[in-house]
Amino acid sequence: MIEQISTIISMDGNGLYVWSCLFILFFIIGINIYLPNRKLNRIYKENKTKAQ
Amino acid sequence: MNKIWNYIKDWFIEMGSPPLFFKWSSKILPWLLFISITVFIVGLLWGLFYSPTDYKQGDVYRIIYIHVPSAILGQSIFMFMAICGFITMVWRVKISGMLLKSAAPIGASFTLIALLTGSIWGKPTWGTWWVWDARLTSTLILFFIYAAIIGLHSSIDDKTKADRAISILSLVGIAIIPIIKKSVDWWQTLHQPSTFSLTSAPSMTPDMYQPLLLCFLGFYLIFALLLTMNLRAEVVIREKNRSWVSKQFLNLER
Amino acid sequence: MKSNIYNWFFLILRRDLLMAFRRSSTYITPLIFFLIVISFFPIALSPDQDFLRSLAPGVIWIAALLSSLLAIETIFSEDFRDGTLDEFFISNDPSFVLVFAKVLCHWLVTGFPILLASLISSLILYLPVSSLLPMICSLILGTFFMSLLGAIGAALSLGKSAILSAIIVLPFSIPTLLMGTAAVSSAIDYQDYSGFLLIMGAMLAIGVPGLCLLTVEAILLNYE
Repeated sequence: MIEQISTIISMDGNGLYVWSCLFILFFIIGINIYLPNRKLNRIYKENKTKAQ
Repeated sequence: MNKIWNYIKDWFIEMGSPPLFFKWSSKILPWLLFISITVFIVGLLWGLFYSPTDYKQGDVYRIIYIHVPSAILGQSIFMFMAICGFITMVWRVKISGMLLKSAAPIGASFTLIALLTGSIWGKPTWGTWWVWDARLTSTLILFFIYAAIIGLHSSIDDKTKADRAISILSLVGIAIIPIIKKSVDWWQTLHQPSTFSLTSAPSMTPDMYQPLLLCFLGFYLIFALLLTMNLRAEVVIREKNRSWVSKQFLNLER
Repeated sequence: MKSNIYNWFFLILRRDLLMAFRRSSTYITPLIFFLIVISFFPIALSPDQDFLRSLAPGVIWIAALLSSLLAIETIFSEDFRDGTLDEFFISNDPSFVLVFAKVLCHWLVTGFPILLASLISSLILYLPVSSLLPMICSLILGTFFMSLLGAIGAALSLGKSAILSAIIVLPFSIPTLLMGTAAVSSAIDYQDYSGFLLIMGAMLAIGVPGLCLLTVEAILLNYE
């Protein structure tokens, strides 16, 4: 079982390339999800304090 | 005919009015989140684990499931932006300017993903991180154009004015991008006879091809998700002093 | 009506040219800049003749692009600052003509000296005589297209930093750069170069109406 996983991860020595691509993809999409939500949160808090 | 057209136009303008947009997008956002992330993850898992290994390139070819959809998306987002730019210029619809503004960073992100993954893919297959190949060059220029649009928008303080400024720039861009692509191709044939091409992989078998199609769908859905999120943030920031924000937004969220 | 437009066009052209020639820096600066950039390449890279000859088309074209964009933000900014542009737009005459006259004036003031300077630089960079004609033709078409593109960049960044308009315009100038260098370097190799010039001409033919109209829109943004 562990050997199977390690063969999948290493991908004949090319694993580093594929996994780094996947990492870049998720990293950049993550930034794109995080930034608008941060903006929304900030305005939410501003309005909250104004209402109080 | 004219009546129907006006009806459709009014419907779009109504749906695009900031409070109404915020309302209906809050309703569809969870569904969009669920569907897009599911399709995205399933497509990537299928491509990265279950599709057969390429006999020529080995497992490195699996980068195709990340690289090609993001490259295509980078270009089609520009097309989308040009359409929004046209609507902004001709009918002055407020929401289309905001759409244009919020699509630009997403397009730049996907173009950047395509460039980075392409260069990572190039290392094992070509031996170098970068080749001045026609496609790589035109993608790099596309990224610069995105950067110019984002930079122009951030430099103008009045946001509705900035929207119209970048709509002009996106219209210039959509006219000139095909010329850039073609001229880079010609430049290639002049300087070096075609040495590499990304499509040199043998014609794809269906079981490599089907996960790629699913990845395309997943990437487009992720674009829709990111666009909705960005647009919601944009709408609320622009209208933060209006009464509907403090009423609806505070009640709907959290 | 027809003669009105022509009068209007020549009036603006004459006024702008007069203003440009009263201040010699407007047409001297791009020229000097062009020559300095050109002379830096042999100093920085190598004075070898064959090497410089293979490099020459690209060097001349990059220098021409940069020096035609050097003073581009002044094309509207001074008239904008002192209110002359407002008067032009208030008047009933077509603003499209105004933009075209201003672009033409900018090209006459910066693009034309560059053409002359490129002849000198072709000597410095050992370009063969056979490639002079395509170089001049492509520079005429290319620098005019650059003036058009620069006008839209200048209109969009009115009142902003000058570097912004360069960042806006430079990515769009790639086809001009590619076609121009391709025309000159294929002439060096004794190949047919007419195709590249025709494409540049076609781009210019579409660019004059299209880009001028978009520039009018871009200037109008500042009056809302």
